[in-house]
Amino acid sequence: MEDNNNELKVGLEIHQQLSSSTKLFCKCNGFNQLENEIYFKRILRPTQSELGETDPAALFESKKSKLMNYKANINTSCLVEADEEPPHEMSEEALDIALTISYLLKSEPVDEIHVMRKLVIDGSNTTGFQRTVIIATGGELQVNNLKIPVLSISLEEDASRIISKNRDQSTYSLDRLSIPLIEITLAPVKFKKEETEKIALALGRLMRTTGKVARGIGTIRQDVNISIDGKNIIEVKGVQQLDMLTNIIEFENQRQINLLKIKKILLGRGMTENNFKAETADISNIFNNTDCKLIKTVLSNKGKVMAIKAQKFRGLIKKEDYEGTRLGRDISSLVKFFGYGGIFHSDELPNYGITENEINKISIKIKNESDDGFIILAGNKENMNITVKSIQNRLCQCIIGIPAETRTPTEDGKTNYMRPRPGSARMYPETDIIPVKITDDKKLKIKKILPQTYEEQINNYKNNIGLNDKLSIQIFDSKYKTLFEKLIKNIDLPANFIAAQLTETLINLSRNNVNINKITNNELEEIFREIEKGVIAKESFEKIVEDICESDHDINNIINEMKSSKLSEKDIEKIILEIIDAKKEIINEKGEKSFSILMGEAMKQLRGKVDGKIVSDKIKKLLKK
Amino acid sequence: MIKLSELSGYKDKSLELLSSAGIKIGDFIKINTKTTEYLGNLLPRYEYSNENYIVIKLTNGYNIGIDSKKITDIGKIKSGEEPKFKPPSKPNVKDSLPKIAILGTGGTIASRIDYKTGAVNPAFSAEELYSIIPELASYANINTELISNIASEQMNPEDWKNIANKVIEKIKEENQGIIIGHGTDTMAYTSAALSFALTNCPIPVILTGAQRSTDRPSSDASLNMISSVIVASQESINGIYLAMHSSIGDNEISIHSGTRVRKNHTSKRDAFESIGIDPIAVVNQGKVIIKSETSKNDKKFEPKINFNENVALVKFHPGFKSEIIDAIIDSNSKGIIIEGTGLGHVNSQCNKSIKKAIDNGMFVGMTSQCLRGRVKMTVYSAGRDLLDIGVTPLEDMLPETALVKLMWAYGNYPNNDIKNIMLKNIAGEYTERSTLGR
Ligand SMILES: [Zn+2]
Repeated sequence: MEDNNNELKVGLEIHQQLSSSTKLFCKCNGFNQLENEIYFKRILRPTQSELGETDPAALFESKKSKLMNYKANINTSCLVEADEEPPHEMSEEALDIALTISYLLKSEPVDEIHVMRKLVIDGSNTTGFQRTVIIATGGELQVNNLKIPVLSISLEEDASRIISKNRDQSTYSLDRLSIPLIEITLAPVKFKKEETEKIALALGRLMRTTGKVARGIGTIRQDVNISIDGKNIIEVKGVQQLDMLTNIIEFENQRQINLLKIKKILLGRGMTENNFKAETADISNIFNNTDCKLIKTVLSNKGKVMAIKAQKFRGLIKKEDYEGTRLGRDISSLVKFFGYGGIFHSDELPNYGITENEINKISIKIKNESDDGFIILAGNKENMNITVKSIQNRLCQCIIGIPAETRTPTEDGKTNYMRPRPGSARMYPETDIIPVKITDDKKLKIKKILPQTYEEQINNYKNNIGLNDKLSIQIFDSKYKTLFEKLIKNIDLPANFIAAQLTETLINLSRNNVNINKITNNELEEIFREIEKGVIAKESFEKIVEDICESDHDINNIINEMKSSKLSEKDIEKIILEIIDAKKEIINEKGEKSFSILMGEAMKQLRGKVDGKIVSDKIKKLLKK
Repeated sequence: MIKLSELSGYKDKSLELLSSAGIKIGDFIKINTKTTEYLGNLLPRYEYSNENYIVIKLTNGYNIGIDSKKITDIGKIKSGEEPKFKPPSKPNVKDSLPKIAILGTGGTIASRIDYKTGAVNPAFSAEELYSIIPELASYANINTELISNIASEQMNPEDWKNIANKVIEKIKEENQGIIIGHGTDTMAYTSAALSFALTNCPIPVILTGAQRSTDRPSSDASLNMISSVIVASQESINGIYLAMHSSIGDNEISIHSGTRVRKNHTSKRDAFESIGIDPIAVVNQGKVIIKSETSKNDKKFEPKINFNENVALVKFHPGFKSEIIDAIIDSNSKGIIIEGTGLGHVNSQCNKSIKKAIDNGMFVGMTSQCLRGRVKMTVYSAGRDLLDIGVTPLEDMLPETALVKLMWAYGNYPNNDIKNIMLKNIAGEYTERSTLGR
């Protein structure tokens, strides 16, 4: 019955880096990725809480100490990121940006903010926790006629950048650690396929109206909360690309529907939570002479093979109406969490060298009847018990419904089990930082200078600045938005030219693998000033940027070199006359139409050195002669 | 632990609002302001909070403060539950492992977080230590005793005496080693004090602490503790030592001599450094590597545990007023340790006051604010003049160690013995040779 009432609800949680001049709790700026020169190693140990852990996976995670390697550059990280100095006061700049965004979402700031420590022991935070603070609650995001309620807005530290990871240790770079992130949690709403991407897009644009959010890969991340039973929420963490969102949601929808179908069949087969008993047995002996290579290896490495009875599960472990949603795959990713390679299950056997005979022996050992199934776990003994317990729990969960958990997106739009959903309770106050009052004065000041809406800003670009439609949107979405707005006020060059250089030219360079992150806003401004003065040609913009990004030369050297290679009017005329001379025949033949051929030839030699307009004027003038 | 029944920390308007609504700490409550409705559990307040804010933990785990003046309605939805904490049971520890006593003085060695209130509760029983630092079970049979609960900066010479007494008691109880958990601020003073009080101590006594609080997964406390237990179990070492991180990573723990160690950084894990000598040992990957030859000392153990705190440590600086020394003389102090400049100098304007102190029978000793290196007062006339007056140069003794030693000397010896005692190397407080490379 309840199956028919299912409604897919999706809530977005957007994490966006703020482009403030410092990190959240120190004076470093982490946006430049410089070569790491410092290295240290830490062991993160689980902390003890007064909460009783019931989920074996949560218990397992909280019990493992892990070795972490940290790499840092002294210019992008200090003792604070290394967890060697208490945090400084929270960046007021970041707080102001977060408050601005809160007001844009009609969210109400809290009176006094309390920085919290949220436990994260995967090493991405050197402390073992992430500092996070709720800034505002309530509000709404308006997308066309749709109003999506906002649950909360918080400000938090970004995590370290992962360099490598294996079972026993992880390596992180500290540059990104503690860059301010704003987290906006939208209420789960009924899912409509075409809307989710629009909502994410609208929220992104709303934040960009401030001109103070970071752009580029990894600067924005979506978490998606997906639920179809209205109770249990699946959190899919770290969706980087918006266009994957719809696929992931559909996959989750189907996976959860599949789980509910399994539940219905199990109930129909007479299973209840109370009579569920997943017997287990050590079945290593059955495989003494097995042909299954994997099990053979496990046993020769002194491992163990366990069978877990899946009472009444026959046919249900492989059941899937949508690719990849079968329970077997979920249990497989669950055991990977504990460090095992995967499982075998009765629905897929005989196969992989496991024979009918062996299957029969297993069935006898765990007293299986006709509609029972089983799971085989093979591997080292160390974490076997807790993993078996986890599989039993997962099977029992099928009778209850959908387990709330955190999942990770795959590249092809599926999701994998990542870890149990962390309880909201794993947070406690950051006692090194005094709570900050958000005074009425501050609120008023911020309200007074709220940025214009996306539409207003785009209209302004078009109507007052004279940008074309395409460039208006491109520059708005680019990380050079604020620089652009500064330049058009101070530099007398056409807005379309500046915008095109800052978007198309730079994107072009980036596509050609030029690391354009190396160039600073000041350097870009300097180039435009030189162009404004007429010292260098407009065409040389691309070349100069490329030189700055690719060589170790100083910007002044590069510009001076450009200047000295700048041709005099006479030189230009000489080159053009030579071309005209060489193309005499074509000119005589085609007349005025030969202009484009001449222009092409001339630019081959003069590109980056002379403004194209000067060249074309000269050609026209010389042709007339 | 905070009792839920109290409204700790709330005052004035907040207290009024809460008590009139019958709300207690931990209750699940609803607060309305003109714009917003908040649901959450009432939290105790911390001293730094302003009186007029009520702090709640929202259902998503975040704490926020709500301005009492803006509250239009407040009400209780549900009573809070007392936290249910089931203390862990003791693991199986082999009887053959060494018996080690762990004394707590106030610095936290381990803790548990109560996520409901955000309180960080110290955990100190042997059972709890084994549960939080399971590695300990493979090294030692530990017994614990909390002997005081004072922050490091609140420690006084009286507390050193209490600790020394406790150590003597634990030696009698046949512990093979003793660990003292200590706040880091004054840990090096305590280690110097115990080094003198417990001269020729027959077993290893290791002071240790944490530069990062124990509630965080990255705390240095556990590795410091594990390494201390390992060193305390060594039969080849005796005496007073201080064990803390050698670097900012969790690689190696340095074992410093109790009289030559100093806290040289406010916050880093490797804040403690041996001055003028190498650490006597390091613990790396669970193994003790002895760095300097410390042959086991089996001289008779005769503790002398009194301290006379009527002595002063004076740091000389340009513009120093000699009246400060006069004031110390007038305060009936028994002696002065000067932290002079360079090789052991002060402005000659101070000489008159210093002479007065010595003429009054006070001991005046010279150390250097350079910290590293030896005082040598015969090189310049400024030093020679001070020697003439009767100032005693104290070799390369650390100023703080010299101060503690002077307190100890006056606490246990007659006045006319003080100079001899101060010049006698009791616990490795000065070196005979200034090692190259240090
Ligand atoms: Zn920093």
